[in-house]
Amino acid sequence: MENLRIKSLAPHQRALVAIAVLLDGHEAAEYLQNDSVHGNSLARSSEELAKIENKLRLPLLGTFLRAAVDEIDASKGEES
Amino acid sequence: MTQSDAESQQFELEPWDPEQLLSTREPHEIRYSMGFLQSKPENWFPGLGAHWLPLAHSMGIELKVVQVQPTFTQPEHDTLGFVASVDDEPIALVAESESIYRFLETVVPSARGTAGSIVAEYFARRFISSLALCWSGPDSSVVRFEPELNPADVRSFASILFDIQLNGVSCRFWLQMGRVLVERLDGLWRRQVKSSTSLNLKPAPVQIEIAQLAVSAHLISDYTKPGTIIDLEVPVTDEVRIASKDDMSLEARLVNVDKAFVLEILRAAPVPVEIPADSVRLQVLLGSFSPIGVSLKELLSGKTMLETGLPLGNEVLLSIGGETVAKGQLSIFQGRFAVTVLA
Repeated sequence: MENLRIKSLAPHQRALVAIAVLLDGHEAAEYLQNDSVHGNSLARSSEELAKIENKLRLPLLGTFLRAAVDEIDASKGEES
Repeated sequence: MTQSDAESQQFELEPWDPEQLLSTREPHEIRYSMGFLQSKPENWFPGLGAHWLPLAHSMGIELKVVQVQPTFTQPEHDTLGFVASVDDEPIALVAESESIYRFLETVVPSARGTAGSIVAEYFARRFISSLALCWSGPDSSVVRFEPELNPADVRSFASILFDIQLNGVSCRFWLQMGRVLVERLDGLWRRQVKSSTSLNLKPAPVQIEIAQLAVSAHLISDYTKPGTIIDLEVPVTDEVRIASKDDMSLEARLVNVDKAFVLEILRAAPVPVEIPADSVRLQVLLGSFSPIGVSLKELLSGKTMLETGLPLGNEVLLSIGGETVAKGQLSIFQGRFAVTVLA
């Protein structure tokens, strides 16, 4: 859990991966991999998360999502 | 019914003015009327439902596709969107803000602000990816999501409008695309229609008929005398019949494209009624033209358009058995078509 790839992503991409895996599980990678810039990292992060046992995965994704959204909102606040 | 010169003084004839009376169309609507605009894009993505229905079901959402329509129209109000590319040509998936709001309210009612925009982005990515994965056309393409491009960067030439309902809530979005992709889809549709249909029409003249009358043989000279006014006894309309000498007979609407007559094909025409044995069929024709590279099935596949090459005008030909016997001016008399025979 310490070395999950999602942690190395920018907040926006983390939120995206979290939502993708929440909705589509193992298939999330298929929908994210065609990103022209971050396709590989998005797909690998979602594949990795999708392999985590369901019981752990859902709360973990929720945590990642909330944290990422908070970070994005905080950075928007700083910008304004 | 005909009227002599003297009697015609009492007629209040108004010249038929096609520039005023016909609806107008843009030249590109003709260009793509048999291909892109007629296409049924859903046919090219046969597995799309399998990507979306299980997700909708798991979220407790009833998903209904109301319409998938190729179009040259664009969203009218403020839009939000995301950009992708097909073989390096940018496309954009855009929706009116209100539509996105309704979509999010239905799909994730609790998601607001940042969370809502990320959900919207994921659904956009998912939609574009699922289209790429389901594509069944002959040429494969490289489809990429372009996170660093803005919808305003996309030079949209035409769109495919998706009109869907989620739990009865209407949401519309446009897949905007550039000219290259529109050309490819246009050509693909035309090839597919032609591969399953008969050959092109023979390049024979096709007549554009305003009306036809059964005239007693001994009255022909009255009908063709200069100055005569012929009440065609049909209401003024933009609909005409087009027919070739062989087997084609269609009903069409006249439209104005750059001050020339263009035909918007409506339907197959009924067989003309028989005329009495002692009469001849007098046709009132706007003119004739030769369609090239078009099959009958293409013409009947929807509101396809045919260029005639005839400039707008109200001069008509009176024709019997394929021979022009007089020329006339098309007019309006008490809401009906009338023809004044010219010298």
